[in-house]
Amino acid sequence: MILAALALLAAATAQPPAAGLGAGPLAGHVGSGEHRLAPALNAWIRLPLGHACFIESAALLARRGEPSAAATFQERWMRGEVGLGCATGSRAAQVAGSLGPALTWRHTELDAARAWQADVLAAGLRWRGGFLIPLGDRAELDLLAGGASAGPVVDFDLLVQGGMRW
Amino acid sequence: MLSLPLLLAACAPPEAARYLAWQRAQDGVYAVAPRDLGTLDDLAAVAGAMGTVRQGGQVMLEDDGGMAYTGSRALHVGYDVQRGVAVPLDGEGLLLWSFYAHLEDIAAELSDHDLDPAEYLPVDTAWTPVIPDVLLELLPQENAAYATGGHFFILLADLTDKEVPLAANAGIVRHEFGHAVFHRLTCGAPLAPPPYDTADESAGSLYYGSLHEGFADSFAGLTLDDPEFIAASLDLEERRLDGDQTLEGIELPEDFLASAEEDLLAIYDPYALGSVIAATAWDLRTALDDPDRALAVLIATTRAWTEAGAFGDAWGFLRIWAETAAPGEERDALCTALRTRFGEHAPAECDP
Repeated sequence: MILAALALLAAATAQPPAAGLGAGPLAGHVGSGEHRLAPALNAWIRLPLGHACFIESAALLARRGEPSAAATFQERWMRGEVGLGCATGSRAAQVAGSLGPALTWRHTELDAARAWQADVLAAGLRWRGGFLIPLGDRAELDLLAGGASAGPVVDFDLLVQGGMRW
Repeated sequence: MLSLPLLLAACAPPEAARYLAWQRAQDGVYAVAPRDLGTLDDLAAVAGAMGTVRQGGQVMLEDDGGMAYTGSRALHVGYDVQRGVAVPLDGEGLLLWSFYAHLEDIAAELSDHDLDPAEYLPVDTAWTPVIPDVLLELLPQENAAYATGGHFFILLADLTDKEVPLAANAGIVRHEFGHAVFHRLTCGAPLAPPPYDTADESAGSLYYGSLHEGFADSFAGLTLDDPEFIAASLDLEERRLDGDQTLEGIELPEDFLASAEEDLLAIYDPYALGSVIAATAWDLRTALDDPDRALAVLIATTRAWTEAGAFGDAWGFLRIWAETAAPGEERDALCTALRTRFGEHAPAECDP
């Protein structure tokens, strides 16, 4: 199994450095134990590490409003993350996976008779996997799914991200 | 690796002395405001002396007609503490804290109504469980329920935005707690099976269901002293305790069962007859200007009716109600209400 993985990595196309932006839904954990969808934006950078592996870093922002007649919640997720990963595949498309630490800041503003706010910072593990699709020599499109723990809870995300290679 | 637990510890919220919850003022207006921590020991898990709110899992019908809750998971409500007040990170956390707070308010009043809190508490709550059995007949608008025979509450997320979410409405929590009281009074213990299986559609079962709803509405309205205890969440004119409901035009169980033979999809509405019973209890409260006394008479009636052992005899309930009221002003007021609301079904004890 390990030998097969090493062989795949050895055959893989080397990872060029790249950076870009992404967007997609975040399924953020809420107090009830459910996951509510919120639109997310993602800025990322990936640098090669050896032949087929890479180190990547990203910042993700998501926002969800929950208005009602008597109380309005504005919830924001802000996550910084670093991951070590590897990719394998052909020039047309590669499969990639990465794992690393994340720090999630959850900020909520509650407007009800008077204003309240809550801020929680929690460390956790972040994982991501998906496809890296080169668009010519200088651009790429990534389809990625992943998640991150934040203390005792877990958020999930699905991202379509584009970037430039150099 | 060592820094991770240190970071987590550094981010744990400080101790809170109070927490935010939906609260109802005397005038029936709701506001989100801090309240004392009280018995809520674990804000994240929503757990304390009133019980524990758990999420997920399944609610199943048992062979004896009761309900069981299995496979649930602990909650993790995120919150921060601002000036000693715990502030939830989302509306769901606020809703569940509010539900717990309303339970605590009810518990503080039970002994005033000759009810022993230890017989009802702690009571756990199932938040958004899967309910695979269609026989449970939880209609879409029923986002809160009491599981008879299982002694737990069921809460589902609101399908539409409301001024006050259902589970955060003190009147609705009291209505559901009223079901727990009625079950305890008529069945002897919280975990005792109900006298009728959920699937039983005999006239006796349907009358019992209407008395359940009537008692629950009365309990909510009289303990809050508010005839519109639902209004902050649901606009249900027909459930106003001070409405003009009478038996006229209401489909009684015998009529329903006759029509149901032709319409297999027909569903009996237990609230229609139940709201006439609750309106009668409110009439007594209005005549006496005493909600506690009106509730005391209703509770004593339920106890006496249970001893008589005829759960399907709704008209017997009215007779015992009239007998239980103290002779004089109280009985006269109740009989006036019974004659007005129930017409020919008013008990002979109330004949002028």
